[in-house]
Amino acid sequence: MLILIIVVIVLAIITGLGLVLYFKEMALQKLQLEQQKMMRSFNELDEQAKLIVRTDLELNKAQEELDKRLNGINALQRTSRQISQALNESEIFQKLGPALFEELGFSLALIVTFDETDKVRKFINIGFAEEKVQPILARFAKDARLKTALKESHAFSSANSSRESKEKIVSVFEAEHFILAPVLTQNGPIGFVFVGNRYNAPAVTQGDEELIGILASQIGQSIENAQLFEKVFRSSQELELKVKERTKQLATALEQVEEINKKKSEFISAVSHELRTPLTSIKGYAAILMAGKIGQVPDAVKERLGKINTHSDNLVSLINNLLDIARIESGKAELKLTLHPVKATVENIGDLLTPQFRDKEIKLAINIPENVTDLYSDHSQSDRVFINLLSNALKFTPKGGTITIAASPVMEKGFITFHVIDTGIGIPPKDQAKLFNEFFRVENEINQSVKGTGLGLTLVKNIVEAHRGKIWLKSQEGVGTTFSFTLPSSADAYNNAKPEKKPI
Amino acid sequence: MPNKIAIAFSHVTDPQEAAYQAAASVRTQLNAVSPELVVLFACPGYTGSETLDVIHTVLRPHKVVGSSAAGIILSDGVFTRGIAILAVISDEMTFGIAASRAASDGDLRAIGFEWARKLHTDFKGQKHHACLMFTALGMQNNSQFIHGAQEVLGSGFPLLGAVSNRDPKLKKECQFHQKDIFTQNAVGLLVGGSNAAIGTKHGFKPLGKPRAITKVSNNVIHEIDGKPATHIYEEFLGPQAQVSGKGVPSHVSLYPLGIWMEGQGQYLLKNAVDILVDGSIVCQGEVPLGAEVHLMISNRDALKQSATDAAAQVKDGLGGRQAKLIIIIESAARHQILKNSAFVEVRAIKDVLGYTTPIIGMYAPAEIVPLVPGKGISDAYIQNESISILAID
Repeated sequence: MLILIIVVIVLAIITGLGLVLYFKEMALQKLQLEQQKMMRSFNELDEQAKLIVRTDLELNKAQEELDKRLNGINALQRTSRQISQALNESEIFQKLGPALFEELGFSLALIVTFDETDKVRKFINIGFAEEKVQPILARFAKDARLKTALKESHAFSSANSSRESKEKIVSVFEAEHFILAPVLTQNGPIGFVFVGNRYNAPAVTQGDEELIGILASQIGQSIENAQLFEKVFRSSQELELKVKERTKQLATALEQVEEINKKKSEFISAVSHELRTPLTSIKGYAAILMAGKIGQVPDAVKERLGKINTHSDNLVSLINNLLDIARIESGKAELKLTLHPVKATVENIGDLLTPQFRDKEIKLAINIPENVTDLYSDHSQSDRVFINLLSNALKFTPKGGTITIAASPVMEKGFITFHVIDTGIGIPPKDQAKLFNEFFRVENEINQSVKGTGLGLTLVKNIVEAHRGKIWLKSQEGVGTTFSFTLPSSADAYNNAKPEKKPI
Repeated sequence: MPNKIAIAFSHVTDPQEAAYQAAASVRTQLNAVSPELVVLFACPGYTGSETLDVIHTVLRPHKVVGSSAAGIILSDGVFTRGIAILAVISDEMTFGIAASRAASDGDLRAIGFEWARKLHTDFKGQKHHACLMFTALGMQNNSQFIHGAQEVLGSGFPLLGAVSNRDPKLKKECQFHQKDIFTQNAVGLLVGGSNAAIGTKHGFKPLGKPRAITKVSNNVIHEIDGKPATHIYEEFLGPQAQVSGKGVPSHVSLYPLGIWMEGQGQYLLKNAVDILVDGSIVCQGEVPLGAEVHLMISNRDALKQSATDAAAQVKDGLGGRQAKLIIIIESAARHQILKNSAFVEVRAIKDVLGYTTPIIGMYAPAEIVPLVPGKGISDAYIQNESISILAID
């Protein structure tokens, strides 16, 4: 019984232990499963992490490329702006500093331009040892195929060129990663831009090729612009020199003309003086003869003596005019400037010429505005201006016409503008410019029948200009002529004006 | 005289002219008074002796320290070319400087000890509050140097530093000390009389399952999980890795190794500075055997956030006081990730610490930083990919 009980207990313990073991085993299996699951998750996490890193690396590379591109574009834009403002090739090369190529991601750069005979004109070296540059240029010069390809506007890069071209360029420039682009102008290539990195550098990308291509063409364009500017600048300098020479010649000629003119005036003055004395005698003797102081003269002789007297008067008038002109031009005459009322002056002149107006049945109109009060002039000289212009107008205005003396109400810098307006025959346009020339007379019927010296308007012009004024005319054939001229209204106006002629 | 802090920068092409422009600007800001201290950061091409000569001639400073930098950080921009000068005149602040040759072939712990003694001797002032150091890249295992320095300076004050940048043309790193330019030295600056606070962050996250460093000698990781160390790059980067025996490809720095520092509860980030033919990875600073290691990843937003977080640490450290000067030491590798948007970090720092405090800093190939700011010099490690801020109030 005891044995049975012991057996039962043992069996129960064994069963219990078995059950415990079973459950332990089950738990262990579960734990192992959990552990496997965790390990798998851990490994999956690791793999995910690797995937994340690779994706991140790709993104970083893309970002790096983008940043590099952006920096490159910025640097290129900055440099383009600078070189486009450069005025000569040397200045362009000076602006292509190491910073630009550093920002573009290259440690080596060689930019070369050639002249028409393919000789190196200018070059800039960044990163190459000084002693290496000449051998590189010599190797390049020997490589006809490379030169031809560049001349045909081909660009090369370590990323896209054929193995043969790549090996050739590497042997010439001793750089593993490179871009070689021609410097193009409208007349074709004039040089090249080489950029590169030696070793351990990132490979050249398509973006790099594009940027260097833009840089090369920008350099070409800037060189072309600078050459054009230099040409224009040189031409303008030559032109300036020519203008200076011509101006000098003209100044000399003007001096000569002035000298001749002075001599002419002096000659006229001298001759006129010499002529006036005998003329006075002739006139005197003619008068004595006509008065019958030496005895009665026949009518026919009287008539001839009358003609001698008239012609002598004309000659005296001509000589007087010539003398006045000569005096003004030579600066020997002096203006006696005073302030006097405008309206009274004009009306006095009108009164003076009233008989002539009456004879020709021509109406005289005077229109001086209220605000135009004073005239600052040499009274006798300004009277001559009005008298001369009115006499001319009378001469060429037909019967029944009107002559107006007017003044503008608005003054310019203190100068009064007067107008003498007639309804006469007018002046042909071709003669208008010559009208103030000495001895010029318009060819028309009136001038053929009425004698004149051709000095009146010259004298008028000289007097107006001596008063620092100006004179001009407007005329239409068959309608009439308006002579306009300006004279100062005050001493201030006269003093502030620039003299056109030497003072009288 | 109250505190006067002047910062000037120039990036004109001629280094002498740049030094003159920056120095002249500082001189104007200081009303022609000679500064007590000048800290100089010079990018490649601006590290020649003429730079230092110009600064001494124009400013006549009492103490000069500085370093070659991969880039310069200022409150109004970041630059990869140029020269920056920080000059200080102060009645409150005191400064001590020192330089010691610190090549890898010497006993770096002893050199560090001696360097700190010189620094302490020159300081002669009140309690020091911060230490700034610049060391050579050649001294790849700087950890021993730091331990040596710790024995003199003690712990409990902020230490921040940078490994000087290597000028690719001159093929050397420069440390500036008075009128000398060293290439294999450690140059230090002790600041006293003012309080200081440090913030440091990296903003990287671990990737994949944990791996273990199974064979290491000082700063060279030979094996990870029993395989050549570079295998981790090949696994993650795929066929593009191609790292063994060919130098360090630039994209590797985008994914630094994150070593879990058990005692600090932080990942210590290490970039490969060299890859050996047997697949070993050479880092800067010691790497612990058996440590858990991950490949780390970040992005622009995370980097910007880390700058904000570092600035927030500084703000906490300052306890409501306003900083008079902010010095930033940042990994050059971060600039590679941020590129044109690198300035967002400075903006983020200004958002936290204010817009009026002058800022100067440098991009460095490696940084010397406390993993957990506030724990003192014993926690200073050589790290990569971090941004660290030292604020002096």
